[in-house]
Amino acid sequence: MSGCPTHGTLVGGYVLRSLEPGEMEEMRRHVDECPHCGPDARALDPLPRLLDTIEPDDVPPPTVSPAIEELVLDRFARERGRQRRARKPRFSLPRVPRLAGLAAACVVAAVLAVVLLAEDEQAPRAYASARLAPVSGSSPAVATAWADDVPAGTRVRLRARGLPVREGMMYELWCVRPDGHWVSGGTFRAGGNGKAEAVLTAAVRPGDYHVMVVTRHTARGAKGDHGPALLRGRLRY
Amino acid sequence: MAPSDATLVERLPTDDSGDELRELYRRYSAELFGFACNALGDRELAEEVVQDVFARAWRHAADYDARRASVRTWLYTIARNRIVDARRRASVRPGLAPDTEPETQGEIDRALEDAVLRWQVAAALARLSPEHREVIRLAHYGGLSLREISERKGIPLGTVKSRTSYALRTLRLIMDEMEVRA
Repeated sequence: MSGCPTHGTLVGGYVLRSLEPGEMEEMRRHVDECPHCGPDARALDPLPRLLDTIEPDDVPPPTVSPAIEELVLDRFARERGRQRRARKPRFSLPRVPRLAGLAAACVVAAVLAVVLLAEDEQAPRAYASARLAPVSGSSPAVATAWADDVPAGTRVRLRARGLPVREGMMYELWCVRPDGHWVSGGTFRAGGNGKAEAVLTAAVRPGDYHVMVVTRHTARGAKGDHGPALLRGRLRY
Repeated sequence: MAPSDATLVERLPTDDSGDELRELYRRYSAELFGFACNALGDRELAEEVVQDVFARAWRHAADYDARRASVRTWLYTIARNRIVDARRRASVRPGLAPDTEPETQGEIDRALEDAVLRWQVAAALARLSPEHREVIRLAHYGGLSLREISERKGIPLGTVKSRTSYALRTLRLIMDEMEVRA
């Protein structure tokens, strides 16, 4: 409270212009003279303007999906793993005379470089990734997809969890082009725990598409029938 | 005692467990996401920005200089740059292009400052008790007088008056703590 025994409780209403007209007028005179209410009202005076910067619907502010933490840490772990592989020597050199040791080290370094480069060539190198979020807000399903460029098109490594588990149910991954054309990456099933790990290939190239969708696989009927969409996400190149 | 923000960043280059990054993420992801969401108006893009901010934070942690900026400022600077990139990308994608002319740097800076402010105000309001938030909502956004609030909610008028004053003072304290600049 402002410390003013007579008008301290009115300061909030005065600042928000929510008092009755008579009270507003009385407070206007009072804050000019009161050593408690005057500073109190001046400190609170910027608040209405700040409150005007938002809509009431903005409260509470949007919260980040818990899946993002997983993605951040996963990305960190993968990069750290690559760094460690690049740094760590594969075996230690035996003790040998200094020059011979140096020469041997050069040979080993050259061999290691070749091995590591070759390994890196073979390692999956995603050119894009996507976090797929539920199309329906009530679904707990979430997935992450990494897209690698391969001669046949795009290889997608998909990791999903929270998928509905029903006997015989299959899912299908789609890459959606900006022209609205859906290109199937193939089908997969979830385990009994709702989790799925799949490597699929779609006949699309980097930049051809910006969206990935997981649908419940259905027998193809009318053209354009992709089955009900469960997860959807935009590619991050 | 919990490590300071600067300590967490200093440890990032040698952190193989991910613990330091996780802690930094938990301290700042919510507000950075709110900031990005406000600036971009798109949850998915905002989530991408948050991911990028932390990826850049660990990659460039060795470049962080605590004498030049707080960790918070440093992360916001990274976020700001990612947001500018995201807006540029969005503007060249069909269907996502804004209807407006390309923005100047000054306009972008102002828009980002506004986005930070909006997030801070919303976050400050969210920290109030439901009772305090409600009187502010009804009086400021609803345009009701304190007497009308009293009648509508069946609460004594004296209680509504003191609650409103407490609510605003608490909000002021929270905003001061968050370093909200009017």
